[in-house]
Amino acid sequence: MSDNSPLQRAKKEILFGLKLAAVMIGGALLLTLARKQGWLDAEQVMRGNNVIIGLALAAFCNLMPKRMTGTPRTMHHATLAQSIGRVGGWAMTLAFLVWCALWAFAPLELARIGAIAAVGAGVAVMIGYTVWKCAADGVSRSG
Amino acid sequence: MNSVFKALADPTRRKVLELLRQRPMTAGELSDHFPVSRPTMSAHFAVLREADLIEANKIGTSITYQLKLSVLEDALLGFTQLFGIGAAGRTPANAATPKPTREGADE
Repeated sequence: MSDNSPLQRAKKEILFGLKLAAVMIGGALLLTLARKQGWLDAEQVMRGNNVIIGLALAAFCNLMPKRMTGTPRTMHHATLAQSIGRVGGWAMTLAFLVWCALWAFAPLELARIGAIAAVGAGVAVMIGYTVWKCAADGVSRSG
Repeated sequence: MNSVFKALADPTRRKVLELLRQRPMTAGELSDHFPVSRPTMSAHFAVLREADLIEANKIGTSITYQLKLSVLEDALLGFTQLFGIGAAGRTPANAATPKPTREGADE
C-alpha cells in the first residue's frame, strides 16, 4: 500500500524539522548581523524574527494532515483521523499566518497580544474539535 | 509540485478528492460515482497516489483510499473547483483518461 517505511518517514520528518530550524536560526543570525551593521533597529529585528518563526511553523503545520500516517484499523478510525488532521492543520496554519501578518504590520502592542491570541485560538479550535469528535464518536457507539 | 498540478488539472481526479473529503472510501465505492471502467479509475488513483494526494490502506479485505492533502494542496483544490480550471468542455465522464497501468489495474 504505502511505499514509505516508518523509518524513511521518520528520516524525512527529522530532516524537514532540521531544515526549518536551520531557516529560523539562519534568519535570526542574518537579522542580528543587519542590526550590528546598523541597517535595522531593535524593533525591526524582533518583528523579522517573529515573522520567520511564524512562517516556519505555518510551513510545519501545512503538512500536518499529511503526517497523520499509520494504517487505520477500521473505516471509522480513518474518517476520524482524516477530519481531525484536516481541521487541526487548517486551524494551526491559519493561526501562524495571522501571527506573521500581525508581527509584520500591526502596532507592537497589538502584535504581541494578537499573535498569541491567534495561536491560542488555533490550538483551542484544534483541541476543541478533537474532543468534540471523539466525544460524539463515543456517544454514537454507546447509543 | 508538478505532479500535484497534473493531478489537480483533471476534473475526474478533483471529483475523487472531493468525494474523499467527506470520508475515506474503497476503490469500488469511488468507482461507482463515475461512468468509467475500473482500470481507468485505477489509473486515476495511481496518478493521485503518485502526487501523494491520497493514501491507500488495507482495512479488512478491501483497499481504502484516504485523503492526504496538505493545507496548501487543499486550498489549491478549492481554488481549482471554484474557478473550474480544466473543466471547460469536459465533464468527469469524458475528461482525459489516463492510460490504465498494470499496477493500477491490479488493484
